[in-house]
Amino acid sequence: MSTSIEMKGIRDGLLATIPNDLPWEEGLRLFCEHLDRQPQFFKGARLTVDLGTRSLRVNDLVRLREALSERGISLWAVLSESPATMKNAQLLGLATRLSKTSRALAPGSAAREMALWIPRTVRSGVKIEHSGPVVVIGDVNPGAEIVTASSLVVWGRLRGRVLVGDPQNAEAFICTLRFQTTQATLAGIPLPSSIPTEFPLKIFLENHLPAWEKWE
Amino acid sequence: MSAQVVTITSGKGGVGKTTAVANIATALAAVGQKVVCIDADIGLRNLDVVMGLENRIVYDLVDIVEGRCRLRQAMIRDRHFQDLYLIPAAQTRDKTAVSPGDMVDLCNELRPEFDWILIDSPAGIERGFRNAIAPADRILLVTNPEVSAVRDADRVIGILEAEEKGSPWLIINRLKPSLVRQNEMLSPEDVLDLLAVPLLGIVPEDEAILIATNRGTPVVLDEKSRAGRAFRNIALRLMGKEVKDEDWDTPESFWSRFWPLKGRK
Ligand SMILES: Nc1ncnc2c1ncn2[C@@H]1O[C@H](COP(=O)(O)OP(=O)(O)O)[C@@H](O)[C@H]1O
Ligand SMILES: [Mg+2]
Repeated sequence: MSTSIEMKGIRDGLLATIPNDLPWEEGLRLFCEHLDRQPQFFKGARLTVDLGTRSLRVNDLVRLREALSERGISLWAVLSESPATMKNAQLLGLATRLSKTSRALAPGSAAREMALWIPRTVRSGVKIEHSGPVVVIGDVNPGAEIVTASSLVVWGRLRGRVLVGDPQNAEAFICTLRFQTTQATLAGIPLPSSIPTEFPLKIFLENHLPAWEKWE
Repeated sequence: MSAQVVTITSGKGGVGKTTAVANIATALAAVGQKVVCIDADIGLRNLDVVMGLENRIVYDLVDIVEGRCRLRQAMIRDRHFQDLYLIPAAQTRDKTAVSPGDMVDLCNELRPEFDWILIDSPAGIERGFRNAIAPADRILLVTNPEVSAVRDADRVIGILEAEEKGSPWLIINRLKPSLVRQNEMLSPEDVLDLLAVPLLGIVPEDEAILIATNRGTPVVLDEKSRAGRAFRNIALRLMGKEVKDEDWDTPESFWSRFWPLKGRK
């Protein structure tokens, strides 16, 4: 019976395993203690957490994510053998398998990644990270965040923070019914406030500079 | 009889949950409904104070759950209405004493005897929030018309949606119409535009609330108070009645934001 947190390096960053035989509260507490022993080492890290077969609720996952973000660590993905945990993680926009992230981050390949389909409004406090295109049917509210190596389509109002396209990705674009955010980048370039906010448009790169056209 | 369980929660603290519970409960009791309030904000208990029942407390929620008293013994009868009761929260800081399952069991025991069970919840994703929402048939979300409160409310809506609790109904509390007119405060339209959930009511900022709270007499009992009128209307809407507030010059179209409530039990 193993009762300590296991940590190992993987392509996507670090993989932590919370032993399956620990009750969740206990596992989370041990995990935090483990992180607090080397705060400088973990700060800024990208972590995938293996949750085993336990069935966790949205609130549990929110607490896990908040415990990590308090420590400057980003929760990249969770691995789980419980369908309930998987579903709840997906609702929070967390990846649920070791994506081929490293490959996706190479220029050109991102567009071929699977699209992430989100058929609802993305609300404050939710952070979605995905290597392929992201499609939202609903709004992206202030306080929500979407990071994608590829493109973003929002069938609704875009008012949260979005980082769209890898720096090398000249093909990345944003389509939205209303572009109403001041916190957006395309391929690493901050988008200017001169972009119209009152009609549907597509924002793309032209000669390495942001440009837009009406989205019909 | 089988009570509807209504949990009142918020994203941010201090927006008026406890005030809302005390007033909606009193307004429901005033029109003849049988009501019990449960203070699930363990550690920050103050529903007893707002209802003026503080010095009648002997037993509390944790005593019931841990079997130190029978349910009836922990139910305090209101000073104004025969059919209004309070189950107070424990003063202890130990928030793990009560589980979501305990709350479901407790409400199931109470349901046959009441029309309404109102639960005063802690804010947002704090511990205890899960207990408070577990037995809920309906969740009311209180916010102030302020950017930070609305942002936190949005967050809680996301969590409720993910927990498959459905869309909460919104109460906008502490509105100052004069500030809205000067564009110094978010308007109800601004708030609804962002949160996109049904509106149950708007309560104006009202000094009478402070006075009423200090006296332990909910403001709905004050005929002249504007906040009192707003809470009475909220109680009627919960009961499925179409009522309009008369206190502000609202465009007719605005009222359509309320009526999605109808038929959505
Ligand atoms: N409509 C209102 N007008 C004026 N004061 C209010 C109003 N609603 C609430 N308050 C005051 O705001 C404070 C916080 O309210 P409370 O109900 O305790 O919030 P919560 O339960 O959400 O923490 C109290 O002092 C209360 O009297
Ligand atoms: Mg309170």
